[in-house]
Amino acid sequence: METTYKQYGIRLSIDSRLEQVRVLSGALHGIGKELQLSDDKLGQLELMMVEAVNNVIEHAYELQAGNDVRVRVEYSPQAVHLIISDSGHTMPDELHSEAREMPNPEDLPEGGWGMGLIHLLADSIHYIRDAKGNHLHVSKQLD
Amino acid sequence: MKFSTHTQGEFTVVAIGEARMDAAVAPELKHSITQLGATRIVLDLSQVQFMDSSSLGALVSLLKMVGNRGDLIIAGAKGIVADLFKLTRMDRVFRMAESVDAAVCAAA
Repeated sequence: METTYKQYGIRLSIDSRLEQVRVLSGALHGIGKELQLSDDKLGQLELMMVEAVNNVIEHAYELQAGNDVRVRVEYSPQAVHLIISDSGHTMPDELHSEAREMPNPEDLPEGGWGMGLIHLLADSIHYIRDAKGNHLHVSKQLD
Repeated sequence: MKFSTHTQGEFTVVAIGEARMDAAVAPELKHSITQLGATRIVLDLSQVQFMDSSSLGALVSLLKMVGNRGDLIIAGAKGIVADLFKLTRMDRVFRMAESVDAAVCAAA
């Protein structure tokens, strides 16, 4: 018999300040504990979320405080879906191009890894720009 | 950002005393370690549970600062911290060691 699991959801919101991002991590750790995620899986989810939120604060809000960064987490024992939304500037095209490449290590880059990391860690990724702002959907399977 | 320093062999060992290295602390991390004026550094990340790419960028900046005259060895990276170096392929650029002792021994 196929087991049906309930799906849960939580909506989080922080101000667009980098020092606030750790609060989102704390909430994600709570979900990780509930789902009994391994440290590896939880670390991957946290890195995906933090890189996406850093991008919002740095690019959509250009490091200006006083704006809303919203993270919706929907999860079941099979998968975690993160939807990161903002009402800031349109993300630069290159940030969400399909063929997202990591910077060349030999160039000694000091940034530019964020979206590449999300692409490597997520099982699916989808970016939408609508009248309300930017929405990045990322999913990770847990089994 | 909490960290402690001590000398081991020819190295200044900088032990990060925080569980988290993220974009909020990356500029301070870079500034504080630069202020030490050391050029042979072992950075002990064994207490760090999470690190983002902004902090990795700060470490690359420090690597450029020590340049060919010195060393910046990353010691004790584990879990998602070690994965971050591998996923970005920056483990090919940094010298990585299992522990501070292994870093100092290997460089002796």
